[in-house]
Amino acid sequence: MRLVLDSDVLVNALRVPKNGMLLSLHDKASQIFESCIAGVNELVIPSVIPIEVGTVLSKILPSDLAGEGVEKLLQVSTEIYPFTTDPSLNSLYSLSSNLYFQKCLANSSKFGKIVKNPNDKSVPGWNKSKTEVLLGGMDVFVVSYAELKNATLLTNDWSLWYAAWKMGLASYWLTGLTIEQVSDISNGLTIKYL
Amino acid sequence: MQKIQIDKKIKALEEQVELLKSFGSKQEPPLTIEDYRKYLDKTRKAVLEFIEPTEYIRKTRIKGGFY
Repeated sequence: MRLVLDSDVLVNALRVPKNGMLLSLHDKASQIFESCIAGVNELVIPSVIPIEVGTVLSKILPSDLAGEGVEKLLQVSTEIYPFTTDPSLNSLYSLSSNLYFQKCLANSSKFGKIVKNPNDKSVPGWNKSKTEVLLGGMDVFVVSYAELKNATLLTNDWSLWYAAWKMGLASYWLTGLTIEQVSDISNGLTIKYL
Repeated sequence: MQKIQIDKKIKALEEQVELLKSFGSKQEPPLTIEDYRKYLDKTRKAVLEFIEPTEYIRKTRIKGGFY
């Protein structure tokens, strides 16, 4: 399966937390990250992701370890858009990045604020006290890339997951995944989520 | 005016070609699960600050401090 892992999932995968509450998220993220190392799933990310991961990791870890973590991420990703490990695609991507830009631009006007539909209240993680989700430019870069690549987006950010799901993208919310579902994803299987 | 714009585009493409050349020639050994787990072990005792990644990133994406 072609996966886009959001920055929060990758930070969860790239350090072992001291806090017990975060340990289950780390275990899930780490299992999926290992499936990408093993080549069962293909990790593709836009270039903004390793930058964001680097800024967060460097707050959590000493800078040499944070750098090593980002290096691991770069090694596992088969594509850090617009750069790929395939030299023939590299020459095309300077052109397709224009399409990406246009897609981001079109999505930017839809994503600032999304009003939640009360009919969706059965989805995992529904918070009835919040009536809308607020997204920013980084979210647009991430979701537009998943759309461009026809990839499955995995995020632990409910707001981004909801927006992606409403767009009709294949997307999963990490906290809402059971251990069995994480195992299935790690084995390259598409799960029935909703 | 148009010539300047074309020159800028050509320069940008040339810079991109140079960047791509260096990226393409980079021969990295593939990461193994063992390497990854060794790295994780090092992070186990090195955490400097408690940060909940999702909450932190959400705040920086839409509510970063304004100075």
